[in-house]
Amino acid sequence: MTAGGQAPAGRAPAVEAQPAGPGLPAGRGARLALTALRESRRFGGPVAAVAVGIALVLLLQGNGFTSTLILDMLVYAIAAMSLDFLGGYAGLISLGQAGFLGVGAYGVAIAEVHFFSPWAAVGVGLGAALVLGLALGIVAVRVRGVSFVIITLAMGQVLWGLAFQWVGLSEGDNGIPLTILPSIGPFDLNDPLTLRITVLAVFAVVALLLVTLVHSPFGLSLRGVRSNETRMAALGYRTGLHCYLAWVIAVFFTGVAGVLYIFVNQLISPATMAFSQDGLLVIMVVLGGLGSIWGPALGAVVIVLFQQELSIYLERWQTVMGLTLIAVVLFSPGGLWGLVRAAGRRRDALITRLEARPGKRDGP
Amino acid sequence: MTAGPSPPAGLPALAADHLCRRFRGVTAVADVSLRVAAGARFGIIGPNGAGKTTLFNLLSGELRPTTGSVALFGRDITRLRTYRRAALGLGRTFQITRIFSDLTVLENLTLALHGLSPSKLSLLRPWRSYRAMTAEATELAASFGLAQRLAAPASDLSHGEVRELEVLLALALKPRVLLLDEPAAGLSPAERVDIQALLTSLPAELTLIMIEHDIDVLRGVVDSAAVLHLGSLVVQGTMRDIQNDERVRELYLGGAGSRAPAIPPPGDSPLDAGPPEAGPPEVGMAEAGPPEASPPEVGTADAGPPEAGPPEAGPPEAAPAGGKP
Amino acid sequence: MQQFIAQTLNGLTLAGIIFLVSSGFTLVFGVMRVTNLSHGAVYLLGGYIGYSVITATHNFLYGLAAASLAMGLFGLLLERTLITWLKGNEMSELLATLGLIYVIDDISLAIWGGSPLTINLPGVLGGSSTLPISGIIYPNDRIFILAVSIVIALGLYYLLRRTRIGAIIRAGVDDREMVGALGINVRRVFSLVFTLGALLAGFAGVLGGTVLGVYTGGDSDILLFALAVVIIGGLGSFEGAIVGSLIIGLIETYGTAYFPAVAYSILFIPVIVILLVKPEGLLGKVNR
Repeated sequence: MTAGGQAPAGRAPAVEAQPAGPGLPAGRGARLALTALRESRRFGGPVAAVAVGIALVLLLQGNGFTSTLILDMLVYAIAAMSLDFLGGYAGLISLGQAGFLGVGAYGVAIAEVHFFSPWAAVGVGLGAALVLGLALGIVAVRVRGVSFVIITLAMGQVLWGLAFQWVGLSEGDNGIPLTILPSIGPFDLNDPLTLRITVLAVFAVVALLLVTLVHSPFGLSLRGVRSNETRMAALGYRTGLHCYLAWVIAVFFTGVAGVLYIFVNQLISPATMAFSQDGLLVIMVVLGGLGSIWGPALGAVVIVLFQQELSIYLERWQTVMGLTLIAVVLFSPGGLWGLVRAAGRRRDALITRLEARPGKRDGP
Repeated sequence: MTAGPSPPAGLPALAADHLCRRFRGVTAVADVSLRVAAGARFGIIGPNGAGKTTLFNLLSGELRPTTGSVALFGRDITRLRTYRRAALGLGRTFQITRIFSDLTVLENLTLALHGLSPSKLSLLRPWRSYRAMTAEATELAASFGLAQRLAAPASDLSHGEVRELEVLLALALKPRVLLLDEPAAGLSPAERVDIQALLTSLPAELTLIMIEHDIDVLRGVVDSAAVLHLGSLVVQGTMRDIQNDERVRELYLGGAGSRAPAIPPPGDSPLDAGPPEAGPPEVGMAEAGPPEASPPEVGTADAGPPEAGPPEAGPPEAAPAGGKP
Repeated sequence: MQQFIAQTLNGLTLAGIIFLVSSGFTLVFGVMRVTNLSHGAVYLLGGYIGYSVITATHNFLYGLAAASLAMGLFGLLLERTLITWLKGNEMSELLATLGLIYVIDDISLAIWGGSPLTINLPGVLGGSSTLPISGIIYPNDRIFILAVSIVIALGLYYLLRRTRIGAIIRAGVDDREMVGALGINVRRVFSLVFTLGALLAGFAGVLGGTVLGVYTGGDSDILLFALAVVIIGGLGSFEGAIVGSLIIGLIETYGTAYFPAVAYSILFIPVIVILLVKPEGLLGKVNR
């Protein structure tokens, strides 16, 4: 299982024994390589920080188009991370999350159409997502695996169907535009900069919450359920309850993403809830790395970029996305996150092997 | 801290009354009644296909009996689901090991230790910060030689270590009654010695019920046993009684009137833990697979009308009966 | 009343098409444990291919044959490559076929464009007849589809229940390892079942193209129906596909006719009921 992957950490290699193995540079080349690899360890953090910094600048200072792009990334990152919490940790992959995103957005929009105040409308949006999550969860967690995927697909489609057909409520295919965003005191979300900061802040809060949940005993229990549910029952866990809670949490946060979605895009239409959108969320998670919680945020960035930018240059970008998913599933099931970590492990293993070369002295 | 209050003296630890389990025309367990005293070391023996694992499934809650009842220290648990029985002190290991292969040994044990504690629903504290639990997990692992392997993914363990972990997971719950399903299956002779040592070192108050084929492991651990054949109880008594029993001899050595089948039906073999025609009671045999593989499709192990009751999920109920102080 | 009879017939016709699609899906799942989410896209592609061939040759049967064969071949190819490479990992198979949907949909869009197309049945089949008993006038193409669906259902039933290969398939649904242990070439059974499923879907695509049309999104619609059918009927159960198709076809049709605003959602009611009462489906077995 760990063939080649794990560095044999802690076991000091016999200094005089092993040759470094085939394919490795010798002499000075080896020393340079070793130094480079070691330095690269330190680069990871700073590089990521710089990337995030650039993104922040673009978000806050950039023109409307760029910042909307980044805002969309943040919105979908929330939805993707929530889906990973459910699918990567509890093992319940939902193909209906776009439906719940839509519910959050439509809740806000429909409430405003009916003259609710903006904050009350937010309450309606979140409330609708929560109530639906609580109600549908009772049915959804009765099954696992493939059946769960199917039932959530059906749920998502039914929600889309409602948005599409219940024209009296949802205005059908035209969608509902949003005119007024909420404000509280000096914080007016109608001001672009405030909106950007708010979305960023909500993303940060949700992301941190999800990460905390993942590392909690509850999060561990979800991984246990995914790994071997019968054993969990034999250990005293009420697995249905744990799955239900995970579901409600995931659906609620997706609803949050929905509320942010309509703030950012100022329009909600059934297209946002179509099956292709459900699939897109799953692609984001799988591409980013199922079960890595941060990976899907990365996946969201990539896919939103594909969708908005790649589509301009490449008409067949959907084919590319489909092929990407297939490629990830075939070659790197751990997604981008998995690739990065595997690369890191290989680098560590290489460093150890280079350090084991005869005559090599461990420098600072 | 054992799960639950001490039972009144004299009650059998585990009692089965006329347990019967039918699968669409096949009777896997037929009218089995057992009484196992507290602190006893009890064995369950029988040829393949005798229904031993099915019996265990009935005792631990993975299956509901067609008729009959099960009682734990006098309390009727027939209608209780597996997790409730665990809370009442019934532990179980599985013939085909059910460990969490994609988690580390430490995570495996931690999960087990949280199983009966309200902390399993703790949302905001990292599980690694529960120092007492980690210490206990380390102790548990150390007492049976797995201390060095705490950080290793369970999939890295040797077969013997997996079997040990299997038992450790059950022990972590501090059960009062432990059901062991072929703990020595597939082990090399050296590993069998280890397992036997583990089993004999278990606390005396713990009631052990063990399915096992290996006579040596049995003899070293078990005082009395029951012999099952084709779902029925043939004889129950001390090991000596059983070895001297006519019917048992016929069964195992094939006397003139023996009905032992020439080819053992797929019964307790690793591929199938239920009768041949009907669906095996344990869902998802090969579920310990790659992390992306799906867990069993259906939520319950067997969905006849008794199983599919009102939805399991709902507002969290109060701490399970017999929970920790 | 007449309206009701007409709607019932519509429902049965829809059930027929849904059955053709869901039977393939459920058999593939039952034998191979593969959830082929691209099954709907195969249906759609079959419709498109049928449309093109019919438009070019003015022969409905050629179109039907071309679509069925092309999709059968596609299924065979898919099974031999992607499915084989994934080595039985159920979630991966599901995800990979999900990705395939995007590819098929997009390429179809590129070739046939986004406008809905309709396939017209030739001659007398394009007209209507007066039905006995009720005296209502009903389109012939629907009668034709209903008849064809019934014939195929009977044929499949005969295949599964009365032939050796059918017994092998049913045994495979029950216990795959046992079938292999009996010396049967399981790989070939897989290919056969998968190819058959795809062939049926392509065939259904042409039939569906007459009364439902061939349009972007048609794959999601039919996939949803098929999935509802297998939840209700039971994953892996052929008879369940029949029962489920009838239920879904009728409910969907009545819903659209009498409760148009929530028609899509009404589908959900039997699904919820089944999940609450018998999660493995009406005729489903608890799987291994």
